[in-house]
Amino acid sequence: MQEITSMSALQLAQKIKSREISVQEVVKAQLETVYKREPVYNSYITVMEKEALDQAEEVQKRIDSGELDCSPLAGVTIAIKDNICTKGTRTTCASKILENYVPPYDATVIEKLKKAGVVLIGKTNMDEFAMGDSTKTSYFGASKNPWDIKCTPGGSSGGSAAAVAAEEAHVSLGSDTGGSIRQPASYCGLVGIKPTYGTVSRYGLIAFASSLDQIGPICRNVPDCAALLEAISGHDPKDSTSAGQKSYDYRQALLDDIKGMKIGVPKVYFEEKMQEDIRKIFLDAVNTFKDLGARIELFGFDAVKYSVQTYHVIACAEACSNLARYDGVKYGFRADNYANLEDLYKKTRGEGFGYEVKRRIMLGAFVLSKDNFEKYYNKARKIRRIICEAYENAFERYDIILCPETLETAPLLADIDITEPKKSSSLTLNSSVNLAGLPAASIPCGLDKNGMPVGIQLIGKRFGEKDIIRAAYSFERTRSYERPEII
Amino acid sequence: MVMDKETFRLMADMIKLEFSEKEEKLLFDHLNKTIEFIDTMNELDTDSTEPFTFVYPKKNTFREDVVDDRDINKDLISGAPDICGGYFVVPKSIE
Repeated sequence: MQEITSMSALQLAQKIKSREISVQEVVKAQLETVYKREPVYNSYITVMEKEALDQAEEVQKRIDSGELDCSPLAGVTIAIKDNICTKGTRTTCASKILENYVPPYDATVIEKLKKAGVVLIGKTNMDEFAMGDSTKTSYFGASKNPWDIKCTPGGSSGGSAAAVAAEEAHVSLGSDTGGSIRQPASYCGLVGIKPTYGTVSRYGLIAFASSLDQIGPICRNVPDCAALLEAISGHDPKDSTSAGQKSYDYRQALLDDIKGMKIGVPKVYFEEKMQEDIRKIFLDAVNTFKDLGARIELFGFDAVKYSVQTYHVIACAEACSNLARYDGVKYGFRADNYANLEDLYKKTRGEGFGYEVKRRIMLGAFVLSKDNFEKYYNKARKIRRIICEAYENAFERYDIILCPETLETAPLLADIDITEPKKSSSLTLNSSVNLAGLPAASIPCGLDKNGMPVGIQLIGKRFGEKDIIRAAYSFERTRSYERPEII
Repeated sequence: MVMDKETFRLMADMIKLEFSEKEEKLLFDHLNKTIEFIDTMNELDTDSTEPFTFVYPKKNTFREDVVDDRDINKDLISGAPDICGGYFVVPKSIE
């Protein structure tokens, strides 16, 4: 029999339901793998051993009583990005300032997962406050890419991607503000979905940039991803930006049929400096969609030319406001030595935040300041509207938009210098999707000459998750799943 | 250079951040380079465009103003670095 930890989540849940494997066996096997591999990959900040074993027993009882008959993921293990609040389990945001923070409540997605009988196995590493694209800004050290441990797994949800690729969890949750689910999924050869803004509740997601953040799944295949997205989606009165939809049955879209689907490919991304084999693999993938019966058209999409600049302004402005709450008074870290209240604030924030977080707070303060508000913040809001309208126009002609997920495959950790200004390759292809609040998936489409995974991005119209799932599923069936040689 | 040292220090003071000398130098250069990059978006003419408000048309969301009497005060305050008798403790702030 295939190893418990390498099975797909849906396949494993079936075996649990048919009593071939018990939930306790699954959790024990998963914990064993986690403890064996963690010294290498550093995917987790906190392993929830006791909670997972307790939950396994409870879930098994619920399965035995028939309560979870309609839950397709009951009994499988999930890794949770450490910016999603878990009651009684520390939630650090990979920051010193929240190193010992234990939330008194569960995020809505956690409540939903527990209800669905999915077993929480641990909290994953990430860039501090989700600010970064490599996990190198984490207070707990970087995670390693299971395809090559010298490389980054990507970020900010790098630990969530590394955990699933290294089979340290069956599925995971990440969050995506400017590509933080899609880019690590691509670097680790996985499927990641950033849902439409408002599809998944943000209640209990520690805020970075509230108008851009969305929680979403990272899995080894499209059906697992569709099932997990289904489990966490839905209107939530606790999140005022949550949107109600008639149907969240994403598994219905698992159809191997895209005949006649209209797919647009933006020309503008080909002008970017792109790794040569990514360009070739992407064009091969486009031909696959064509062979499957889709109608492909190249189109001009210059409106996204300034999306990285716009993203920087909006994300940092919102971060500056969101992170004002960390003051060393109500919760989290407090500096040891201070002269007065003002000094307490400054020393706590100065010692508690890492370099990248401070940089973004400073940039946010700058673009929101009286003299710069119009020139930067309002300018970015205007460009954001132009980007939204350009997508709306494009989706009058196309069902989905296709582009490479990244401009390069996972870089070496040693080559990443977080103090060096650079135009992030993942933001170039990802940030406009968050600015427009659209759904997008990254799916594996090949390996580069060094054997590192390459991803393709499928962007859907607002609440068009089913279109991208159908296209992703049809494409996935033309390729066999490639897994890394795990240590 | 878009941001001078004086503005940098004034902003850091306003948002209550403190830096080491080395960090301040790195950050000052880094921020100025980032702002120069962001500035390129001003090439685009947006005179006839209204600023963005929300990703889709949505009415403001309200909920009933109901008192929730769950006894969670203790839980909420338990994560504070210093508490006394159910209150947050801070250094003396009024002379």
